[in-house]
Amino acid sequence: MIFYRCASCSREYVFRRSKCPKCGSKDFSAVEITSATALDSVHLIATPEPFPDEYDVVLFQTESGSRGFCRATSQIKRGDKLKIRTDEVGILCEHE
Amino acid sequence: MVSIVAANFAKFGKREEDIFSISSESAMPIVDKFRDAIDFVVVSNSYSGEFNGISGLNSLLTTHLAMDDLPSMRVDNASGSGGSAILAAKSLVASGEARNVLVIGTEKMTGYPTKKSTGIIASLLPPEERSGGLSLPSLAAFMARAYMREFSPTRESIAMVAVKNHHNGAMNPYAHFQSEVSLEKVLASKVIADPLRIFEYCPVSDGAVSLLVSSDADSSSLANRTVKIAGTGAGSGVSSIASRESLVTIESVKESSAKAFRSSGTKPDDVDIAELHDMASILEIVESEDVGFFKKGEGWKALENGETAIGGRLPINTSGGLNSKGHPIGASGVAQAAEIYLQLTGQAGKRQVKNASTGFSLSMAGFGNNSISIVYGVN
Repeated sequence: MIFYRCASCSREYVFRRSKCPKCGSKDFSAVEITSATALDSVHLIATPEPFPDEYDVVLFQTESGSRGFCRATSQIKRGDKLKIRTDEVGILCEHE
Repeated sequence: MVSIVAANFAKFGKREEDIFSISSESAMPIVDKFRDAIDFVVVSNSYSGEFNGISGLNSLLTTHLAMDDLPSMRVDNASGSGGSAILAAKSLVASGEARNVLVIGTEKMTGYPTKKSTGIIASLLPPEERSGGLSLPSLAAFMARAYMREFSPTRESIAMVAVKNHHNGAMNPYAHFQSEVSLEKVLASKVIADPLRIFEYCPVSDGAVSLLVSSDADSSSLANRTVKIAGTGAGSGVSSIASRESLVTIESVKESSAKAFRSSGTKPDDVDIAELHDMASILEIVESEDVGFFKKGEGWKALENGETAIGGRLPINTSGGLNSKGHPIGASGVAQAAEIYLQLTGQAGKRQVKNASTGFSLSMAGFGNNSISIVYGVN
């Protein structure tokens, strides 16, 4: 999973931007995220296409403080350490 | 000043007819009565491309309604389309570009598996977040969990949004759901996104509603009972949910509401009735705080005390809200204005609120990506 780090102020964004809303810089570097901590998770029954029929959606935070969402392959609780990776439909996470 | 001089609904729910017929059902009574006065058409619709394979809906609709000569536009702002369409209509009239604008809010969404419609609606999320399996219902569940941690509401108080709004919807002949639901039934119903259950979410609905928005010069000659658009406000926040500092407040709601109260010279305490964007139960509570009706963290208490029920201090979602009336996305914000119009002109039938003179509506795009607030008054 990629986060976008502003080359000027180092603020990170999960959502790609043309310009840093914090400092105005247009230079970003791609940062690969491979680990994080779960802030919360929701067990989702009514899932959207193209995802599986049931899974936990996890709000996570990286070591640098940036946050994102991933689909869990097992039950995740607040505070759990996560490994982040991608599969053919999106961002996956599992216990570290 | 700009006023609403007429409103008409096509019933919300699962409809067999196509989007043209549903739209026409809501618009034709107004067109038949005011054809010579109408000089612009604004169509509020978000998903005619995705659900119906139709683009340029506004021109197709004006032709369908035999108003080929009238200029028109389609306003798409996701679930906030209705509020934006009214804002556009008001601006057209206030600027002198038009005198009488027909606003048609319409959406035809049923007929697809839930998984497909959930996916289509989730397309308003940033692609980088959507790829984490996120959906709008799951965001509401994250909000509910954060709200429960921070403010310790009773679980029952959140579910009571559905009980109250189904009660109101049962008195609204245009609502998708026409029956009440008990608290026990809500809490025993199927979990959609833990902890929220199916009765706490709006259904997928078809529906349409039309309004005539007119200038001061015209409104008094067109109708005896009119409702003025006393103030409007638009607010915006970051579309990336993960980037938000708090999951229990919606910045765009606070901003749009403050602007609407400022521009109308009113304050939250002046409001007699409100229509909020209750896509999920928890949203009504959070929004009721962010608009300024209740202190942060206390909206659930007001609900539990019956303050937001019909007969309470501030009835919220007398129409049944999105939760019971249904949420045909392009129609919802227009339907909120139509409900306020019916209430302030004494035409709301069994759900009529006595002596209401100031109304408020909140039309919200996505999960608060942006919001449009409107304050209404009696002319």
